[in-house]
Amino acid sequence: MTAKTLLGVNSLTLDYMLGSTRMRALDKVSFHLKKGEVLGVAGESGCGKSTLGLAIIGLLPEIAEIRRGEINFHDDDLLKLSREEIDQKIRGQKITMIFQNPQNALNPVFTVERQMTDILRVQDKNNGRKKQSAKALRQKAIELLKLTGIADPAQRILNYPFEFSGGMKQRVMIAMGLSSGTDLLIADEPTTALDVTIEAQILELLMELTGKRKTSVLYISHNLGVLSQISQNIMIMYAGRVLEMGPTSQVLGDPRHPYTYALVESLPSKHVRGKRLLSIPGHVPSLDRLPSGCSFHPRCPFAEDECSQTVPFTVEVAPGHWSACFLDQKRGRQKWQWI
Amino acid sequence: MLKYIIKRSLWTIPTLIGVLVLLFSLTYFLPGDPATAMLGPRATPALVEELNNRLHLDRPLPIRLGYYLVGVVKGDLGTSVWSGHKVSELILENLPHTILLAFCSLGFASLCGIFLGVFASIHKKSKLGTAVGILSLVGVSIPDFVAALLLMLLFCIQFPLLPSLGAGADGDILDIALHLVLPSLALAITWIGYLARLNRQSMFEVLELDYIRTAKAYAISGKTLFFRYALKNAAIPSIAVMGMGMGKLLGGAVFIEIIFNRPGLGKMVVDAVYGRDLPVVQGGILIATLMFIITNLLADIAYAYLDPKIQYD
Amino acid sequence: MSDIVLTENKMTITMLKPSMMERIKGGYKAITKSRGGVVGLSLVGLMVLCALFAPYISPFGPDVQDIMGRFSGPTAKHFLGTDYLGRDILSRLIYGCRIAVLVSFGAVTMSAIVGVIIGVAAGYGEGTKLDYAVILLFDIVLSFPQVILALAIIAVLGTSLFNLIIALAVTAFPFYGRIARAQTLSVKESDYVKACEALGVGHIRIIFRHIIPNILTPIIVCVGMDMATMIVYEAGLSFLGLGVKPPTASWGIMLQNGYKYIMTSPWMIFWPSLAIALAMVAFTLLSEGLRVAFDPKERKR
Repeated sequence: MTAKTLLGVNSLTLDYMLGSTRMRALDKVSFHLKKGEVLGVAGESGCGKSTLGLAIIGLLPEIAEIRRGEINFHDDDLLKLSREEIDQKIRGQKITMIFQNPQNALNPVFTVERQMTDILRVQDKNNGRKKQSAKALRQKAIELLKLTGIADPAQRILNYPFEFSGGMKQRVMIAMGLSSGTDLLIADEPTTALDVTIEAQILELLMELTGKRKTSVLYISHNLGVLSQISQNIMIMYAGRVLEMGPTSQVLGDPRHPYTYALVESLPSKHVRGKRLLSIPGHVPSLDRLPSGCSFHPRCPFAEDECSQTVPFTVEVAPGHWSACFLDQKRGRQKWQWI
Repeated sequence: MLKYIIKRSLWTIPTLIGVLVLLFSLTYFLPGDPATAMLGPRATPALVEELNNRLHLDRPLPIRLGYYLVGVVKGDLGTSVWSGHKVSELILENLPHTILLAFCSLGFASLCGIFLGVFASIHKKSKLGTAVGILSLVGVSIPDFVAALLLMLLFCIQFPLLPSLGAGADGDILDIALHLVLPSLALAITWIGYLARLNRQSMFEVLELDYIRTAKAYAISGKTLFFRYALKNAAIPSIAVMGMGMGKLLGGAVFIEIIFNRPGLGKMVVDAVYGRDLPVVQGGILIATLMFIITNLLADIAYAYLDPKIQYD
Repeated sequence: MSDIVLTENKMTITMLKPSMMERIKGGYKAITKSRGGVVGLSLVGLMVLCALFAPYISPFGPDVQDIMGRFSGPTAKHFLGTDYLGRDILSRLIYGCRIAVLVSFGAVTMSAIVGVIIGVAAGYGEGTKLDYAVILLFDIVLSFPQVILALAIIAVLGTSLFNLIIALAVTAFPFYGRIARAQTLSVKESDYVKACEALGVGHIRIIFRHIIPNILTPIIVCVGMDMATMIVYEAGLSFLGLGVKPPTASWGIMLQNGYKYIMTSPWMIFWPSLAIALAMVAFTLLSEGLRVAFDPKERKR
């Protein structure tokens, strides 16, 4: 771990226990995140990207059981800290998270001012800072709203959440997410539930604010287009495992893993007219019945015997570029010709 | 907020009119001749004639309805067939006792029930939580009059701790309070059980919601999380249900007052039913129903206050 | 052409509507999934058995008096003791099941049928004068506290078992009516009903084949809870002397007797109280089990 590495996840493995059924939500997930870096986490629904975010901030549901692994943040392994310690030092301050659907993210019976000042107050308390007056807190909240582009913040802060639009609510969430000078912002599909035009605005706002503050961002999304714009590095996940990881331009422009290739090719692109969009046959496996070996092999037209027998290792196939595919590792870079 | 109050209040008017008409028609449905039925074995031709005149029983239906409605508006609810007292006087005499009982029970039950429900949701895995769960099931299952009888058995007969009958000497606050303990408790038991289960369920549902996740993401936890963030939302269904609770309470008060021999609206109505004293029955039921309608209205308004969205629907 | 089009052509939507038998079997399996449901179902079953086979099960007749042995506590001969006339309490409890089951089944069936008919009619003709009239009717009846309305009706009609059932049914029908109406409103808007209307299917047919099966679920859950309340109301009104006439063995009448002799014998009050409480527990658990059984979210557990 170099001095600039902010977050190091090592071999994180966790299950969701539904009664006696075990669903492996994350399997040996490892990656690093540097200060100021934007890492995109991509994959289809159910691949574990949201679970990863929740695991880092410690908001996993009760049915989750962590089997092994480390989440190293600064000098601590977050998995070894108690809940109280995380509450006090980390959550809501050094690591913050914004979620997908802002519609219900704010308590409907409190004004926005109340919720924001509550959070500010908790942050002060956990940092051992002096209690600020209500007026000072309100002022700070208004500043934060102004920062995220909400018009007439002094008035709107007195409104209830149902009087805000979806996009505005997400701005409030971003304001709260950056309120404490956070080191790591985990964004779990923050624009998926918004209109496309608003999406662009929110995205720009997010990138501007985090860029200015050199905040690291773990951006979770299934939208490769968005990730290609904002992230320096990208991680492709499938059924709880990391299949490919590396600089975004490289991973998306020259994918090493057949799955990544298929994902990229399935995007409509203005460069390739008239070509049929690729759709991957089959469907994502259920997490309680993962295929043996490589979890993608049942859908992979290039699969060989080895693929169904052993789980591929994640190997650095180019500087900073990792992939988990036997064929790629054996034969080197190739053009995956899908039917 | 005001607009909502007005709108909601106006809706009670047609209902109230319907209630009056329905109550009035009770006399219409009496089998046989109303006056004879009311007087029962005491009926003599002279008395029957007098009753017919007094209650306008020999006039056509619309006229009788008219007399009745005008009377109600003027505050005159008729006269008791038996005692000759004005019904409104009887009501004024008995109503305060019932109101006192109802408020004690409802207040106690609400605080207890909501608190127990939240408590059960916080300690849901421990033995305490299960104990509360079982207790609330028991509470819901014991009807108020059964609870009253059992309480009386336990605390007045087996272990003579509390007074059993009557409302206590006038003016003696302590005595009145002592006499209120068992009756309020009996009425409150079912309600406490119900509210405990309702709030426990409601807390579980609220704790799954997104805004609780947001609060947790910012290290809001423990008492603040449960009692301020969750409870204010989770308690909303309880408020909505309070209005109905008053109705059940009024119904239960009937039994409680009879069992503990307390003066009150319920006892008055039941005694009047025994004696076929229809004007008193009508008057008593009218007031009880009016109370029910008003508490429902107040509950709806409180609900709108707590959940600001409702006002804009 | 592309695979996607072909696949869509091959896809057929099969709507399987399970038959009645399958539904009942499914319901039974689902209820027994939760422990509470099993307990509730067994207790209710026990009650029904007692009600049906009372003469064969109970050790004595309900009116058999044993004046010498009155006010006794539990003995070998009289398991639960005797009342003020020496009648065996256990036997009277078992016969009391009959009254409880009869009144609750009768009142609930009546109010459910009437309520559903009116509610569906109102919901189907949403916005018409009929609808408004029905809503007003429900509101008016629901403005009365249930017990008090029942009292009033009995005051007018007189005290008898049949009048009791009628009075209770009248106080309860708006609950079913409201549920039926609300469900009808939402089912009416669903796509397959609209499709039926577009195809010219008659209204009656739509109501019976599509709307009614869909409103059954909440109605059944309501029925479960209502049975419990009806048993309690019967007991309460009989306790006041306004329900069934003595010397019928009803739990309410037993309580009334017990109250008069509360100083002399606690058993006269205790056993019927226990019976009523158990009956309530039984139906509460049963309807909780029903609710869980029919709630799609809980099914997955």
